[in-house]
Amino acid sequence: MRAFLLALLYPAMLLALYCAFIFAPREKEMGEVQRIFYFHLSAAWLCMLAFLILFVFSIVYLATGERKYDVWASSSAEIGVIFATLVLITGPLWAKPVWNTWWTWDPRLTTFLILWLIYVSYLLLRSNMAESDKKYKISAVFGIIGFIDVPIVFMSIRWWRTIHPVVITSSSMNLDPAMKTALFVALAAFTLFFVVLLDLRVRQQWQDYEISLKSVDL
Amino acid sequence: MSLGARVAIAIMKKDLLLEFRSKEGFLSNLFFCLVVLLLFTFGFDPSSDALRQGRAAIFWIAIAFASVLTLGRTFQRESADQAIEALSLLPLDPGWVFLGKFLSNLLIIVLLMLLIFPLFVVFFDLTVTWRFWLFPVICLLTALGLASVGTLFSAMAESSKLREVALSIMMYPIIIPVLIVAVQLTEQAIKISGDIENWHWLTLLLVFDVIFLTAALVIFDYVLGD
Repeated sequence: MRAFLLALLYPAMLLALYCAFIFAPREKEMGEVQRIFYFHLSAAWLCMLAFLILFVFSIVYLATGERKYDVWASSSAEIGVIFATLVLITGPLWAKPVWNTWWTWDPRLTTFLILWLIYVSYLLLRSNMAESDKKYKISAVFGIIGFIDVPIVFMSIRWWRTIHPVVITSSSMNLDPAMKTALFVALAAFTLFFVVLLDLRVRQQWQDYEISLKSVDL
Repeated sequence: MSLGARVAIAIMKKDLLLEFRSKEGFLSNLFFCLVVLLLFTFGFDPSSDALRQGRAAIFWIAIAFASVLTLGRTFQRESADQAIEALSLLPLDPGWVFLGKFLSNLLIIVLLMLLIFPLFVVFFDLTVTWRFWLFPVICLLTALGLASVGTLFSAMAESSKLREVALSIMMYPIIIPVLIVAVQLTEQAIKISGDIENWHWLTLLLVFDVIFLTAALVIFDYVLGD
């Protein structure tokens, strides 16, 4: 199954690149820079997925106390932070030529930035605690609190920003069919990539844990 | 009164006593808050409008800094002689321990806000109007949010090697909505003409308080003791 997924991942990624750079037409107003959108949106989708997985496994960990759920939660958080960082890099790269600004305090952008802050602090918190059940419990608690906070942050920032004129309206799904295809291919390839990464990291952490158990035995 | 409630009140009284009698306690925080408040003003040209526009933000950032100092001590003082272990061995729902700590933090933070406010009025040259009645309400609701999240996180930060830094990096991103709302409402309280508007902010603050106080009470069980 693993070999199959990996074998599938390479052509899928190549196909996504082909679709984004060659198959999809050039956007009339934004030009070539629009092509970053396929990867930007895919990365953003993966963060949401990763943080949802973190939230769910954090709850399951607190309920059951089984180490493997913490491994799943923390692995997912690590990958989520990587993709969130990618979103924050690709976003401004696109925004500078198109909106003529690197950054704007739009609700979605601001919420995303805070989301990134919350999950980076999750990782920092984890990396500064000694290995113990306490660490896993505390991480799970923070994973849950962080996730609950996100909608509240979004509401507050939406209200905060409506005092000022909204510069960017929500983008519609009026995409060219070829662009839509490119987007879905990119989404599928990235999701596959995520599954492979998550599986790899979970196995790695689990082996780490088993080795630490054995060294205690000796 | 139930045993749990008596324990919560005893913990609250003990913490308040320690805060007000020790040198590293409340007075130092109050002074720290004042220093931060004044320090911000030097980032602006006092004759320009920028300082006037940013004053509510400056007030709340100073409060956020000083509150984290108070919150950080909540469980730190229990680390001596493994007092935290004793607390976790109480034959009670740990929620009562949380409640005691939470109440003492709440009172200290509200008092901090109320004592700093007159100085804020003086240094930032505010005109006192009838709208000021809104201010204690904002303080209470903001302090509820800060104390509920902060008390929970303070117990969590004790396990980290980073301690106070851990508390800050956990706390600030989470309380951003509270700060935004507090600033917006304070603008309403200190303006000099017109009615108080934007009541929906108050609702958001209440929602935050209820959600996080409930979550902290439920979840505290997992972070106390080993």
